[in-house]
Amino acid sequence: MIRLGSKWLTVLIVVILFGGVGLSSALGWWATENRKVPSRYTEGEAAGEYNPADLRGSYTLGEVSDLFGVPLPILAEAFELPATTDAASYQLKSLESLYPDASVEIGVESVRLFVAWYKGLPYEAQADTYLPASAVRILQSRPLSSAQQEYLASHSLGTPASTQVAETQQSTPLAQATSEGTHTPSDRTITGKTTFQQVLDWGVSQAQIEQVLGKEMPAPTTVIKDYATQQGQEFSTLKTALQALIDQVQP
Amino acid sequence: MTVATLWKRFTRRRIWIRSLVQLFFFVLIALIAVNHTLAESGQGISWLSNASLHALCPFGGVVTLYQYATTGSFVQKIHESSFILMILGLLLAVLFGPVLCGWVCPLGTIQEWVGKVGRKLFKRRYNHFVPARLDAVLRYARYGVLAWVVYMTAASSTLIFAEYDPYFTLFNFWSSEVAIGGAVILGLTLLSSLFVERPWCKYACPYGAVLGLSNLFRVFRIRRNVGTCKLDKACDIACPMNIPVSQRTIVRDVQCISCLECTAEAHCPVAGTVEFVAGGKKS
Ligand code: SF4
Ligand code: SF4
Repeated sequence: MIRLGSKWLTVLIVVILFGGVGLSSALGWWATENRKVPSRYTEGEAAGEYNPADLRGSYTLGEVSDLFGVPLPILAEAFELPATTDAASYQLKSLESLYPDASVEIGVESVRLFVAWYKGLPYEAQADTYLPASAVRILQSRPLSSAQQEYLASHSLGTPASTQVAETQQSTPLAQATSEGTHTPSDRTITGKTTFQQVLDWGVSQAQIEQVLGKEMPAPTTVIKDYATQQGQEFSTLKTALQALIDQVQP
Repeated sequence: MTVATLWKRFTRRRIWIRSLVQLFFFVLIALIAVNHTLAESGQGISWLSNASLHALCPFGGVVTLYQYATTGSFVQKIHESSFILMILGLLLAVLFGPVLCGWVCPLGTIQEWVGKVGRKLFKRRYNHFVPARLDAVLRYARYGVLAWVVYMTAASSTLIFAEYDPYFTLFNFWSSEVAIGGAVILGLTLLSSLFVERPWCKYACPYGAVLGLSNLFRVFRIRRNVGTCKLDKACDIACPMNIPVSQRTIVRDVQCISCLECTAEAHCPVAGTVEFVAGGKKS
């Protein structure tokens, strides 16, 4: 018969818990975050390579650079990160807040597109994906198909001339550039400035919105992008879901 | 009052080291939770883990079991670490019973702290407000909660319980991740802790429900020596979970949390009568 007192029990609890954690991290099993490994292409020429389509907001530019072999300075330049930010630890989801006033959205989707085309990987551009002017400039120096060239020409956020103006404003490099940009969003399209009220006005019910949000809708005057940032969600995901609702109702 | 008398008071007739262990884990988890928030804005404390609370929750490992078995992947927000903690928790439980509840869980700890106030207020009536019949029925409720959580998680593949989990709320009340449901449940739990000791643990905690099963087969048990027992019920009064230890030879109640308060090291007045032992005579 073995008797155990409180002191020995304490020792055993501490040893088993911390020893177990220590041992498992020594063995490399202890992970408190997702291992970030994107899925790979399953068919076509690029089969077996990482697929940029699987990049998510939690990836940092450093990880993107490691995984896809795009030099970090190129990524930083393409997305016009302020010189003061640490590009390696910059999460893709933060991009949305770097371009707060842009009429179109620069976010994870833009990075996916950029990385794919930079590496010459097959990637279907979505009609509403835009790239910062400097990213477009970088891509234009790579071998691209004429369709891709054409796409870039019409999906650049701001012209190179206007980015010079923008470069003086570090934190929101494109705040001004957008007004001169090549794109004015049509009505009934969610942009970085759209509020919940506008979505309501376009005929989507509050109940539908709340279903997408999974919780109560905030004050209607809230800008959707701000809401996403505040909730730590990806704006692009939210946008796609809401846009689908808008597209369902006829004007 | 000198330090020595304070210490004497603190250590008198209770498992004082358990209070220290509880405080330690409470502070540790609280710091990690704060650090997680800080790290998001890039100013975390580097030598301390900044894992998310989900990653440090052994119960996360339990709810993801179904998905892991069927698809080999984890439920959103749950990582290998939850799995490892779950295994360590089970190992501890098989050996010593639900010590994670009695010694480690910060939610259990904070309920005990509030309970101290309740005990001051109500003296002996404390922890005896719920009529025995009702209490007996309610104690099955945590298995209902467990079934619901496991089912919902499997069906939705998301961490459904985080919306209601008072433990998660407790360490995230400053962040926007907190859901109203969790805040209400935490509030209710703390309020009722004034009347009942560990109400959440007794009636609702799904993880406590899992760990509690270990009482049926654990290696080290709480054993009462019938020969020397004075039947003064000191153990019954001490037990936070209202287990009538004085009517048991071996405590197999699924609600025991291995706090050792009933043993002769704390409240039982006769040396060697209620003990924490492994092996020996079966009955
Ligand atoms: S029953 Fe649940 S809340 Fe109570 S101590 Fe155990 S794990 Fe913590
Ligand atoms: S039976 Fe003893 S060890 Fe178990 S909960 Fe009650 S007082 Fe604690």
